[in-house]
Amino acid sequence: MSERRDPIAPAGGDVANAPVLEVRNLGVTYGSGSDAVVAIRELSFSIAPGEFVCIVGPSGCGKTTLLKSIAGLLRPTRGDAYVAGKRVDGPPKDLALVFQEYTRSLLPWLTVGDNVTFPLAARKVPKSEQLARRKAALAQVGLPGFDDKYPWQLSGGMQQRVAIARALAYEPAVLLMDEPFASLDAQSRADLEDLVLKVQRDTGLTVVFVTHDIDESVYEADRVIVLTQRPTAIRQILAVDLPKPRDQITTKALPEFVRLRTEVLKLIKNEPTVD
Amino acid sequence: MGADVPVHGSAQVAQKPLPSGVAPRSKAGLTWWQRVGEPALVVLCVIGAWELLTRTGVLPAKDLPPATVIGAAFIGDIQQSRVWEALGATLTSWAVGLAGSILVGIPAGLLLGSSQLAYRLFQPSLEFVRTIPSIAALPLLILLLGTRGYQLAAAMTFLGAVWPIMIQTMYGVRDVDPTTMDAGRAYGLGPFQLFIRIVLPSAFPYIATGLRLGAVVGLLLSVAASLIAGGTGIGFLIVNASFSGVPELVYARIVLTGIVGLGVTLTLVAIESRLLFWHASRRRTVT
Repeated sequence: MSERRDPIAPAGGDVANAPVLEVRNLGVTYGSGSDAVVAIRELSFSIAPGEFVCIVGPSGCGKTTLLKSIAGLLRPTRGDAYVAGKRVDGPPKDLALVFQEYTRSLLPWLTVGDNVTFPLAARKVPKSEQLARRKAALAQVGLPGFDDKYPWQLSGGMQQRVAIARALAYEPAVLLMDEPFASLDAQSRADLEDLVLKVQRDTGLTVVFVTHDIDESVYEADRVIVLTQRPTAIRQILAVDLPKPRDQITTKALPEFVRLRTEVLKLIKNEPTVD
Repeated sequence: MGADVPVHGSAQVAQKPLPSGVAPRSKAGLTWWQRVGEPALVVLCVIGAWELLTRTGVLPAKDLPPATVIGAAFIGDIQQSRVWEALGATLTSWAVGLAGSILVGIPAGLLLGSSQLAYRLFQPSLEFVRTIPSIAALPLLILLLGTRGYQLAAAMTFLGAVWPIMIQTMYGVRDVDPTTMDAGRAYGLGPFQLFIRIVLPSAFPYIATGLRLGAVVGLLLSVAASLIAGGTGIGFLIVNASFSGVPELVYARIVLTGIVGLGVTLTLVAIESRLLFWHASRRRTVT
């Protein structure tokens, strides 16, 4: 593949309808010869600006491999990912990543404030702008004034908020989240699900959210991409037309929510759907 | 990692390159009396028992002078300038040797830790070399450096300290959390930025442990150098007291050396605590 711009994205000017994230014929094989393991057979999908897309699949289905390929941390064996029209070849500037393991993705020797700004400092963003972005981001995640605390002085939910603030301060076009709430308690999890929905609504950010929690995927998403077992391919893409803003109690009680979650569950369990 | 535990020479410096091995656990929750008072009481009891056993003749007072006699010799000795000069000479050699081992050990450890090739090429030799007791180099070093100046003890300190520092640094770099590195990479940090902002701080607890171990082993070897080869250090004064047939002075000077070693350790632990306040082994506030 050449380094030129994605031919599908319009050249300059009007990019409103161009996908902000596109995955084209992407495949990943680990090892070679007889030891080769095909983690991802082939995946193609595209995500429009401002969309909230959840990716679900059975455990061990290569969700993290896909995510690493999009984040430029892993070179796919076949095909490509495009972020904001540019082929991913190393970590894209327009993409921020939130990890499941917040304790390991935050730097314990830095304060909350410095954790939020270190990517900006490395990018040589002017100090005053760093501070402004940090203030705004920490306020957005509900941690205003926590700048001088250390991450390990905070609860798990709060630490993940810091990681989200770091991603927001980076001002990406795409926010990629890798099972971000999987290690949190139920209450923090619900709070953070709502927080991410609110932030997405306020900022119009594109969110790609990998999860193994089916309820979570339906609750959060505009579309749910259901993956198959290894070697991974797309099982089905479901549109979620639940009313917004969503609510942990009323949304989850809607017949449509129940229908969708059942459908996703059946897809993952590889049973035919009843239509 | 059992076989990779850094062990050096006869000193048996075994420190697992794990966070739990980085430093003594936080002393939070213990009162001053529990931390200092009770251990001091144990020391006093031992001294008391020593005094009793030697005074009553259970232990031969000729070779094992009573604690009070050693104490008196100690008080008398530290009022003489010559013991301080000897101590100064030993510590000067130690400081020079330690500085050298830091200058060599940390960069070498960083290289060995970051380069898979360097690790593969040098790790076996390193494992071999570090099992040779540094003291075995003494005869060779006496020929090379003589016994008069500070160089011999400095070289011994270097030989003792460079391995723990190098090996801990190496493990520190190799043990950087891959998720933390991924976070750095995902946020666009280049190799240099990753090194400065993530690898070095992550490896720092290991490096600090290496320094603490190296400093103590180095001090032992610096003393041993003058003890065996003579010269101007405190080790020579210990031997000297022995040859002069004054056992209480031998003990007094050994005690003094021990106090200096303890001071070095406590100072380094205190510095470590301040710099590593963020590390899991030292955090005080976890909610």
